[in-house]
Amino acid sequence: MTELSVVGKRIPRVDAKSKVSGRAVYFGDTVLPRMVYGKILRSPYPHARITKIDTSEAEKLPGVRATLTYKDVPRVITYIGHLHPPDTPLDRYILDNVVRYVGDEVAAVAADSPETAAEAVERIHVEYERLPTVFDPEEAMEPGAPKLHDEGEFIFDMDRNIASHIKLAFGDVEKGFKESAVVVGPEKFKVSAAHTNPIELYGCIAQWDPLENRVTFWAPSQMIFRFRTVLAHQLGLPENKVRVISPYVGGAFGSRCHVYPFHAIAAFLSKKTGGRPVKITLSREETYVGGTSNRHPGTLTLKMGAAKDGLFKAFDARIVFSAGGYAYVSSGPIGFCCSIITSLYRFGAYNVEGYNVYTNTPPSGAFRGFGGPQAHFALEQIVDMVAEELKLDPIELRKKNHVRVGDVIHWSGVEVRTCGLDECLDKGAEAVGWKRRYDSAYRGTGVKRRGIGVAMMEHVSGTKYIPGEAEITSAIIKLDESGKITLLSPAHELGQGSRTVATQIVAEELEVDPEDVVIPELDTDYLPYGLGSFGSRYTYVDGTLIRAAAADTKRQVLEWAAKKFDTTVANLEYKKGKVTVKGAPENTATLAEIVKFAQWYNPDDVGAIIGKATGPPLYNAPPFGVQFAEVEVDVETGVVKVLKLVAAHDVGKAINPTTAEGQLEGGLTQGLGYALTEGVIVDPETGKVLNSDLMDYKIFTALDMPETRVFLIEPIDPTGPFGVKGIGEPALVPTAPAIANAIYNAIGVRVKELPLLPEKILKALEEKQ
Amino acid sequence: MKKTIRLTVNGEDYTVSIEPFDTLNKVLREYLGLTGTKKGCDYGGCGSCTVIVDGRAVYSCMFWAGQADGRKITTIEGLVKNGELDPIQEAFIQHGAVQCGYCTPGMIMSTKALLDKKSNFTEMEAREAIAGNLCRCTGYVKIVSAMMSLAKKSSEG
Repeated sequence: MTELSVVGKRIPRVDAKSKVSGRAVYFGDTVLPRMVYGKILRSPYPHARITKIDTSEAEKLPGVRATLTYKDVPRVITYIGHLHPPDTPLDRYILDNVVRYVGDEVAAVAADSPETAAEAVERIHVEYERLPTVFDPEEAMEPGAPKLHDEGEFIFDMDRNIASHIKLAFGDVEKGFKESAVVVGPEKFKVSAAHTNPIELYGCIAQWDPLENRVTFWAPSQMIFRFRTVLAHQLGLPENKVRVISPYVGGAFGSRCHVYPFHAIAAFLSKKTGGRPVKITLSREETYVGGTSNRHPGTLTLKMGAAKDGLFKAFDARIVFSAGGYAYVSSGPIGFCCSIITSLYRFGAYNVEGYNVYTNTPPSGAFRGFGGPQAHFALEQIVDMVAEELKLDPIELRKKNHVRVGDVIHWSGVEVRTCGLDECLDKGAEAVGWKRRYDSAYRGTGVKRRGIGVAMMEHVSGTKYIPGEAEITSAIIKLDESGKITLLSPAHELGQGSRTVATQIVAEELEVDPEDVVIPELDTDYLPYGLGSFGSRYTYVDGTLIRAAAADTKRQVLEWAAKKFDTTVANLEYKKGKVTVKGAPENTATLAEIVKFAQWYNPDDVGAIIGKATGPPLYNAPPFGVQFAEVEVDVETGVVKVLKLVAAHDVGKAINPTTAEGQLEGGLTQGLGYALTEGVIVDPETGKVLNSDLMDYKIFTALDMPETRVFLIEPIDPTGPFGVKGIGEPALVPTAPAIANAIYNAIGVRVKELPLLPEKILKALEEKQ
Repeated sequence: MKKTIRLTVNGEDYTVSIEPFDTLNKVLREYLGLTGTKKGCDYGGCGSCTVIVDGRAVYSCMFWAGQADGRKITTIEGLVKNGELDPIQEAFIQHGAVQCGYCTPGMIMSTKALLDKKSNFTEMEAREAIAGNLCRCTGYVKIVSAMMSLAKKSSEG
C-alpha cells in the first residue's frame, strides 16, 4: 500500500469547533415561528383497554391548540424499528385503545408553552378497563398467559406472545456432548434492561404544511431515510412528501434507530393546528418510562462440552428476550444474539434457539451491540467455566478454539479474512499482568480480594449478508469553482466521528487538505440514499462508496484536463489536487482551473464535475476484540471496584486513531455500567419503572472510572476501505463478562445476573459457604 | 406575576422579564437565545446545563432566574473572544475530548471554574470538578487528559 497522508492520522474532528463553542445545533435548540409544544399523556397501567377518553377539559385551557387521541389518527398498523418490513412484526398503531406498558402513549396535546401542555394532559379524562398482565418473558410463553396482541403482521406466535423465533443448528450436538470429556451446564445467565441513556433528550419537531401536504421533521436520527420510509407509511404520504432533517445528535447508541410514536404524534398535532411546527421533548423520566428502548433483558441458558485437549465439541443455547409491550426491531437483536453466539468459536456442533417475547414492560430495542452484549456475557463466562474444569488457562483455551482466517461464519456465509484475536490476547494479557491471577498472595485472603478476568468478542461491519438484511449507501462529491469539495453522504454524526473519517477518506483520495472538504447536514431532500449509522457500519460501508465516488471524481477531472490540454488521460498525472501533462510541468492545472474549464470554456461541451457511487460494500469483515478486567472485591460489603480495564480490539485500519480510541474508551464506560450498575427496574407488582431518573439509574462519572488502556490492533482487512473494520459497537461487548470472570478469580463465586450488584455478590458468597 | 431582573451575561448587560418559576437555564436558552448551554434533565442529574455564576460552576436548570438578578454569568458562548477559541476549547479539540458534543459545553464550563480558581490541579481534582457532568460517549479519558494539559501549562507558566 502506498503511503497515506491523511488516513491514519490524528486530525482534529471536523465538528469539534462548533461543539466546543456551543454553536452546534441540536433539535432542542431550534425554535421556529409559531412553534407550539407537544406533550404526551402516558398510561399509568401496564395493560388496559381505554373505555372512555375525553379531552374537552384540556381543550378549554387557554393556549391549548390541539389534542390527539386514538380516534384522531389513522389506524395504520406499524412498527417502531428500522429493519425491512418483511421480518419486522407490525404490532402497533400510532395511538391505540389498548395500552401495553406503563408509559405507553394514550393521548397528546399541543399548546403555546410546555407548561400549558403539561397542565392540559393532566386534564384529559381517561377511563381504563384493567387487563391481566405478564412481566416475565418465560411466563408470557406459558399456555394461559395474558395475551398482549391479537392483531398484527409477521408476529411469530401471537397466542404465546412470541414476536420472533430463531433456531440455528450445526452438526450432531448429542454426539458432541457424548464425546466431550467435560460438559458444563445448563447454566442460566440473566441480563438486564440497560438503557442507552444519551445525554440529549429524545424528541423532534414536526411541521405539516397543509397546502403542500408535506411534512418536515427535525429529528435526531441514525437513519434519516428509514425514518422517512416508516413515517411516510404512518402518515399516508409518499416518501417525497416527507422530509427528515437530522441536526447534530447528542448521543444515540442505537436508540435513534427507532421511529417512536412521538414522531407521528408531533406530525398529526401539527396537522390539527393548521400547520404550526410542534416540538415534543421527552423529559428525562420519559427517557426511561416512555419506551425509548432498553437493551433486551432476558435469560441465556447455555451448555458447553469440550474434549480433553480443550476443543469445543458441542454447544447448546436457549435464549429468551423480553421484547416489552412492542417488538422494536424484533428479529434483530434476538437473531443477532443467537447468531453471534455460534461464531466466535469453532464448535463441533451447536443448537441455538431464541425467542423474543412480549411482556407488559417498556419496550426493548436497538442498543450498541444489538444482542452481542447479552451473548458474550453468557458465552464468555461458560468458556471460563470449561477452562476451570479442564484446568486450562482461559487464554490458552480461547486460542485453541476461536475462529481463524479462512473459517466461514455459518449464519452469514462470511469468510474470515483477518483475525487479530491472538495479538489482542497477548497485548492485553501483558498490559494487565495476566499471570498475577494465579498468585494467591496477589488475590489475597482478607476483606479485599483481587482478581483478573478476560473476555473476547466478535461482531460485524454493517449488515451485508445478515439474513433478511440489505446493505447500501451512496456518496456524491461535487467540485466547486475554487476547487473545493462538498461531500454528500448520509454521515449521521452521533459523536462517533463519521464526518471526520469521511473527510479524511476524501482528502486522502483526492490529495487535498481536509479543510477543503465540507459535509452538509443530514436532509433526505437532497442527500443520496444510504442506511445511516448503526451496526458499526459507517466507516466500513460508506467509506467504500466514498472512495468509489472519489475515484469517479478523479476520472472526470482527468477527462476534462485531457480536453483542456488537448491530450489523452493516459498522458496525464494527478498529484496533490493538480493535473500535469507528463513530462511537461508547465502544463499543470489546479482543480479550480479544471472546474472552471469544464463549466464555462466550451459552449458546446460543458459540465459540472459530480462524482458519484452507490451500492453495497465489498463484504462484511468481522471485527474482534479482547478485554481484561482487574477487580477488587470487598467480601464484607460485596462491592466490586474495577481497578483496571484493558481493551485490545482488532479494528482493521484506524482511519483516525483518536476517534477509534474514543469509541473504545466510551464503550468501556458503557460496558462497566452494564456490568455493575445499569438496568431499568420494573416493579413486578405494578409494572412501573422504579429508577426513572439519573440519580437512581446510575451511569459512571469521571470519579468512578478505573484506569483504562486501549490498544488498536490493525490487521489490514482486504475488504474494507484502507483496511478498516467496524468499531462502534464492539467496544462495550466484552467488558461485563471480563469483569464477571475477574470477580470469580477474586472470590471463587460466579454471579450470573446483571448488574453484578453487591447484594448479589454477598448472596452468592453466603451460598458458597 | 412577571418580574424584571438585570444580569450580565458574557460581559453584556440584559434586562429580562421573567416568570417566578423560570430557571436560569430557560432565561439563557429561551429568552436570550444562548443555546450553547444545554438541558438534559431538570434536576441537576446530568450537568449539561453548567454555567458560571460569579465564578462558581452551577447547574443552570436548578438555579432560579430570580437568583440571577445582579449576577455575572459566563456561558460557553462567552469563551470565544475576538474570534479566538479559549485555551480550554483548544485543549478539548487537540485531545479529542469531544464526541457527540452534548456534554461538552458543561464540561468546559466546569473546567473553566476549576482553572479560574486553581491554575495547577491534580488529576483527582480535575475528576472532582467534572464529577457532576455526565458523558455517555468518551469514558472521560480524553476530557481528563485535555484538562490535565491545561494544568501542566499553567504550572509551567
